Amino acid sequence: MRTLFLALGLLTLSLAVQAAPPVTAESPWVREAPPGSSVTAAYLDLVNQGDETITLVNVRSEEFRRAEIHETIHEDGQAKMRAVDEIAVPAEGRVELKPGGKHLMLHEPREELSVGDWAHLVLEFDNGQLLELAVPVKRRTGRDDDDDHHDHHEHRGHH
Amino acid sequence: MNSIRQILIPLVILCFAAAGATVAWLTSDRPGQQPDTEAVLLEQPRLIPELQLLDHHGTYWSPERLKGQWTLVFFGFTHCPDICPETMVQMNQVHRMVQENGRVMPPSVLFVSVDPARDTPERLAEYVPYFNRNFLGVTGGEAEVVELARSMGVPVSIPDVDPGEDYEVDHGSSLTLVGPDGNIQAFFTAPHQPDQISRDFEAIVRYLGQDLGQQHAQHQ
Repeated sequence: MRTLFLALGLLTLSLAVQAAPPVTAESPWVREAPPGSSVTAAYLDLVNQGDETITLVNVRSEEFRRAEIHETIHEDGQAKMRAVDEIAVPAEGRVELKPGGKHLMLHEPREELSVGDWAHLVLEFDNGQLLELAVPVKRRTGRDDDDDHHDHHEHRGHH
Repeated sequence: MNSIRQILIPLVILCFAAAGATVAWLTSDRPGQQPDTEAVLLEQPRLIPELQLLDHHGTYWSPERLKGQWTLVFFGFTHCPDICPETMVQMNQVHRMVQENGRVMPPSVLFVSVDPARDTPERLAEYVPYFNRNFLGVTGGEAEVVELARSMGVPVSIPDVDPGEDYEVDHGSSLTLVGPDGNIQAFFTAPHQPDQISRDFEAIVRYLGQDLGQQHAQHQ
């Protein structure tokens, strides 16, 4: 009997593993746009649990009129922001989208989003996978009353 | 032979003593010696040309206003989703770290818009105090902004497009440290690490003096 339960348990577990999408997102957040600014960015870690490279090819958000994959690069002492076509996530690898690097640029919010709100992102990959995410909007000012001091800390709830 | 040895031995001892004294002098914590920092500290402070901009209160601003305190200056624009707000965050962190350490007065922070067509004083009045009410934003004529940037070694390429369009302004990412004498004293190049900048800022201010007074004159 015990063996049967164990076998059933293992079966369920293996099914769950198979059903898990190859690419997942960790610690996603959207920067609250400073007042007067109509653009902002979303950040997250893309984790590929599969054994093949999977590439992010598109992003959209219902809260914003336009969303693009972007990268800030430092070149010849200049900070330049460029749209990039895709971000490849290597097999069993991780790509960090973080301030000052790769990010998802969000243009023209349909409504002003502030800390405590949520944005919805749909990430589309080259294998056809769609990753739908509800992402918290966080205030990041560098003051000690930010709701989250570090990008990769767990979200500590809302004010 | 003997006489050569008589001269050589004291000479060697003297050399070792001199070397030892030099090492001791270099590693001692006496003020007035060049601090070991990641910043680019200028041997000859650089002058800032006279020009006029508008601050985020709508008041005329000239580099004269930089006199009297240490100021960190950086260039950016408000239609920038990532690096500009992040630099504001880092300036705030530097400001707070220096304040908490309590060794020297924290720097003033000046944000210069490289997108004067869209960044009006009103827009900066919303944007800049969101990060810190004590930070100041300035904007103004394109030529003046570019001239100020050039004097700080910051390249700026303002595209020739309709302000209603969607565009980016590539700009230099270094921070400029201006002394209480109103002259450029140092640069910090990107990528910026707030803890490193705050340590270097403290070292530079202690080296050149909070008021850039007597100590600096002796150094020169």
